Amino acid sequence: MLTLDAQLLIPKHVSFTLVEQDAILLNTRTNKYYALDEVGARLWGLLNEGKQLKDAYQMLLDEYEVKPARLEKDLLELIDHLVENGLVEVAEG
Amino acid sequence: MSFCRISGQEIHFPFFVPELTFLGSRNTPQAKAGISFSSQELTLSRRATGWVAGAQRRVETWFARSGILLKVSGGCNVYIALGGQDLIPLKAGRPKKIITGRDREILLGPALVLALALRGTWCLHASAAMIGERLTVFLGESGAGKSTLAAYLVNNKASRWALVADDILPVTVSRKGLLAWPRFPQLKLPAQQQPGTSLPESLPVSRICVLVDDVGRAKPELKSIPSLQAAQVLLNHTAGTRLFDPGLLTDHLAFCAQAAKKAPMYQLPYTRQKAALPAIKQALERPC
Repeated sequence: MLTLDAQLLIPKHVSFTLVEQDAILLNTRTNKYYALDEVGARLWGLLNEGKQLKDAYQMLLDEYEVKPARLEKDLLELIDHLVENGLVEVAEG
Repeated sequence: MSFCRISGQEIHFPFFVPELTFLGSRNTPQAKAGISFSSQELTLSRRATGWVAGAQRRVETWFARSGILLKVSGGCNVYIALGGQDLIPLKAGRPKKIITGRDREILLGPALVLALALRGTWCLHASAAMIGERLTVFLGESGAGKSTLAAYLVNNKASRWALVADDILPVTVSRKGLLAWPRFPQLKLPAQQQPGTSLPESLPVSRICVLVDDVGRAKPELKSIPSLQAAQVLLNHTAGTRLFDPGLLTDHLAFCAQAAKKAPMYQLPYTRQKAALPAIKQALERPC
């Protein structure tokens, strides 16, 4: 079960580009593209800078008007989806 | 050797290619292009199946330090120098001496698309036409009517439209905007109808219209597409991406994100009914 304490890694085979506020991710192994909305793009930017998921969550909570429980649910759902598609890896231990 | 300036890029071939005569292909005394790889150093990068030279064929790209080997089932292999400047059809690892029509379709199809991509020029699956200095690019699924619409605009009586591309349109981004490079062999057209003959080497793209099936709508109206969706459309309508290695895919992604901001993109409801074409033409001629 994924939690905000998970240690996430962005694999080398994933590319990312911003399109205005949004973003597109590319898994170069599968040639598949994934769109991220503004909040997802911001989360990705933070993870890409090396921030831990918990810290990124805290920063997003400060930046957007959203209830903590809702943000946590949305982030974990998004991370689940990213993991499923090989765009993020959860570090062991 | 012969060389030809295709879509702003000088490309060398080991022989004269008749399909490129309209671009001023000419022989050059330059030394033979070298093929410098051994079969041991080749690594398979991509494998895909697609429509090439009149049939569904398996296409593979193999990478070496000096270049890419494109292998097409039922056709010749083509060596592409890593800078995209040399295209050499091979047989049993040596330059092929007798070239068939199918070999030339492979050479001027996936091999040329890959060579241009290596030089930062991306080929859209598109038709395109211009009126005055306004160039409109038409994108859409295969069979959506891109060619039919461009042909209608151009062949209509007293038409002021000129054809720019029918199938493939090479493009780049510049500080000024999205640029089209129409001097490219359109394999669907005979030599005397190649649009690149009479056009400047590059043209600014005024807008991109995506044809969407819309049977029965009375008034076709252009609807603006936001940048994220526009970038996704460009990703999906670029030729040859299934042959790109991770580095090229990453460069291509960056290109599409930039291009989406450089040229406005619109959805164009389109029906293949002949009676609807005049209204579509009118919508396209209206100022944006």
